[in-house]
Amino acid sequence: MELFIKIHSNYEETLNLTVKDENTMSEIHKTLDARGLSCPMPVLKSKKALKEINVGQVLEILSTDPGSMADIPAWTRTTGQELLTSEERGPKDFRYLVKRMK
Amino acid sequence: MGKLLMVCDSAATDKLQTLAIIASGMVTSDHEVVIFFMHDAVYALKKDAPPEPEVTSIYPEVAEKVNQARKAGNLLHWKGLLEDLKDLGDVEIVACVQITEILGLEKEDLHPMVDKVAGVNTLAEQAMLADRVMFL
Repeated sequence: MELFIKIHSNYEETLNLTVKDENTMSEIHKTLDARGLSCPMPVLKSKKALKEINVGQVLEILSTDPGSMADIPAWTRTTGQELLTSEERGPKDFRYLVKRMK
Repeated sequence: MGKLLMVCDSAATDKLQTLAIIASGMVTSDHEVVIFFMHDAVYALKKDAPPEPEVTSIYPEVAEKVNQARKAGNLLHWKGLLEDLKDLGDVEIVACVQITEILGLEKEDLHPMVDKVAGVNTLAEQAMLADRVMFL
């Protein structure tokens, strides 16, 4: 099962397949799995990932860093990107959707 | 966006790690960062610098846990982080000319991330051009 997930996530990233977010119905163009990384890596990697999608496209960020609940919103505010979703799905389980605005 | 000048004269691992983390916050927020390394911090940038000392703290538990996290690979090394930031944004790294000379070094003897070796008037100019100055 673990192997399947790994192959699937690489496959999805390589082909840049789009999936839809259930709540916002936004198309997700890229997923950054930043789970296990601590500050400042989730934002640093998000910044890099955002550069790899086009303006208007959406980046999904998965994180286990409790600081990301404050830092991802602060980062999107400062850099003029749009935070579509900020979710705490469980203990140390956070998910964000960021739309690239510029 | 804004510009931050950071000045560091220490080669203490925890200090340099803090410097790189703050720089990361600034660069990912689209701010320009100039880092001026002085005194011991220049020595830490030597290409053939001796192995870095472990993090120290007045609290043994802090040192122990931070060093454990470093060994586990949970913390990106400050040099690697600064290299990443140079690729990502506007980061200029300057080494103090005086200590570079005293140590008998040339720019080529320092880590390639160093943009230039310059003196205190460069620092003075950057301090007045920057929106904020931070000394570590």
